[in-house]
Amino acid sequence: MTASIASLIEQNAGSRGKSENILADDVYTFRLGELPPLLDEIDAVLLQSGAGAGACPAMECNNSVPSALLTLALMRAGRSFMLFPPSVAEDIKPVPRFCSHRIVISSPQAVAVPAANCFGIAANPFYNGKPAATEKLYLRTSGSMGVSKIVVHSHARLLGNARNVVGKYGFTAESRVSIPVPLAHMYGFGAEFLPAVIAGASIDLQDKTNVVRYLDHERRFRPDIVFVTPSLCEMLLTAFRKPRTQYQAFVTSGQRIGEELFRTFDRTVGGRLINQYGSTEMGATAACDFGDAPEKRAAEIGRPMDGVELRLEPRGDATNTDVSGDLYCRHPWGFEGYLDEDGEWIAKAAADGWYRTGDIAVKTPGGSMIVTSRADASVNRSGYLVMLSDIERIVERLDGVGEVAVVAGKKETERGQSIAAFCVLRSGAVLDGTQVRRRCADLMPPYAIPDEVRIVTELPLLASGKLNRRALESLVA
Amino acid sequence: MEGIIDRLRHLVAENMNLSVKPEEIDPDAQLLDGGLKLDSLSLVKLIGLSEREFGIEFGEDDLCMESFASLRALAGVIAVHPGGQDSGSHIATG
Repeated sequence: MTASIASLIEQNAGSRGKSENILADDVYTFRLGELPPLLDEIDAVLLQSGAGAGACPAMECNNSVPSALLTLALMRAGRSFMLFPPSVAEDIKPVPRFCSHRIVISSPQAVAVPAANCFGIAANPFYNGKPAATEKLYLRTSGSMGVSKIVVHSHARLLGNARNVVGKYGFTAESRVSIPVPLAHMYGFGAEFLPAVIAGASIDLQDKTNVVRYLDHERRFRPDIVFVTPSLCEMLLTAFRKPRTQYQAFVTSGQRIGEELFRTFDRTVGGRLINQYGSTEMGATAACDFGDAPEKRAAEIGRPMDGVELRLEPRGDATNTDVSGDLYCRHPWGFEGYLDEDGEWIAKAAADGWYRTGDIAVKTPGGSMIVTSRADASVNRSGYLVMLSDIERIVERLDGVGEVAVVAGKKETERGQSIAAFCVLRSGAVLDGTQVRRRCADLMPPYAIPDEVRIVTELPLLASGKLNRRALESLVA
Repeated sequence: MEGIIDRLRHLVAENMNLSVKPEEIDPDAQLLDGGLKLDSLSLVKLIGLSEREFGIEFGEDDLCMESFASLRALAGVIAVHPGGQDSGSHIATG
């Protein structure tokens, strides 16, 4: 039987080695020993606002102590809740209709404001009345089309995943864990915050991180475990003027860091840099070990965490002659499935537990995996990852349009790499490229609309009968 | 000090894509969270450009939120930096 979050919080508060450890941000510093009564206060605030038992709030979660406390209060009470980051693009609706309340967190400048008074709680005017599930966490995937899916995790699995991370990176009560990555994402919440809570470690929350704020926190808090993004790594390299020896784990995730940057930064943090492979669905699946050589840590996924399995499935592509394949992951603490905005299942996680990561990987002679590319071609537009296949699916639905192929161009536009769509019209249909683009504007966010739409009589095919994307790519600038 | 502030205004106006003229930049405006709202990448750029412009190398202790609170605060750090008074070079761009 594993401990619940409620008993963990009580244990931390009552343990001599942990109760003096802190949870801190730029304003608040609380000892873990103070947390249970603080969480009681938050329970009371939720109850007064009508967001007590039976509510399923969506909370705008910044990297602050009030946000962290609210997540703990909700988990402790077994409530289901959704996390979303404070700055969302206007075209994404942050509160789904199955959430009863929206909670925004204010960031006070002074400790004079009690932490439990930082919450703006309002009923969701679009709430569809769906009864709240128990003990779930909802997170949005970074949707390619602005219409994101909502990933469902159970609290029990979140804790299982967090225990795996504790073991992998060696979180203990002595650890000092700094969190500059968003608490509203799986990476910050599930892979760093919850493991720190389980270990009873000291936790430092950095909101709106930049290099000088990072250095301020580093001086003040002296972290030894920190999770960052590759871009923060790159920026810190210009700010770290001397090597660090205090880090036990410097973890990065997301797009992989180039080997040269990896080596340089790894030296700066005492050889403790690791690239973590994971996703919102799979939590923190796998990690290289610190003992591995830098080039191995820079390139490979590494050994899976306890209970996690990885396998390659050969791609059904006639042009594929190498040994790469679709990377699948089976995670004992993975997600349960995807919901839509109404709280209905879009898809449940596969019954056998195998999840297609969407990455293409090759196996090294040592049995490890190296991710080589994404299975679905994508481009970065206005900061969003746009899957070309998602655009194809939408354009195909337009009246008069038959087949569609979307490719990335070589040109850089102000939104990012250019996108071109090739459409074959249905017989009798009369449409030109401008009309197709105009109709796209009603169905997708501006950044996803192809810069160029060409009407063609047929799409070029390979001998295998598959679409010849290269031929199309050569036609666009 | 005012000379350093002027050079910093030029640096920011010419390199940060803010669409402002140097004289429009309030030296007391917050550089980061409010005011000029420089993002994290622009901040890194500003550190590098300032070092080049004034021929200095910030120590890690100089790199704190207080130093980058405003252009005036940053000018104060540069002014007391060895070699920071007036390197004689002109605005670096690009």
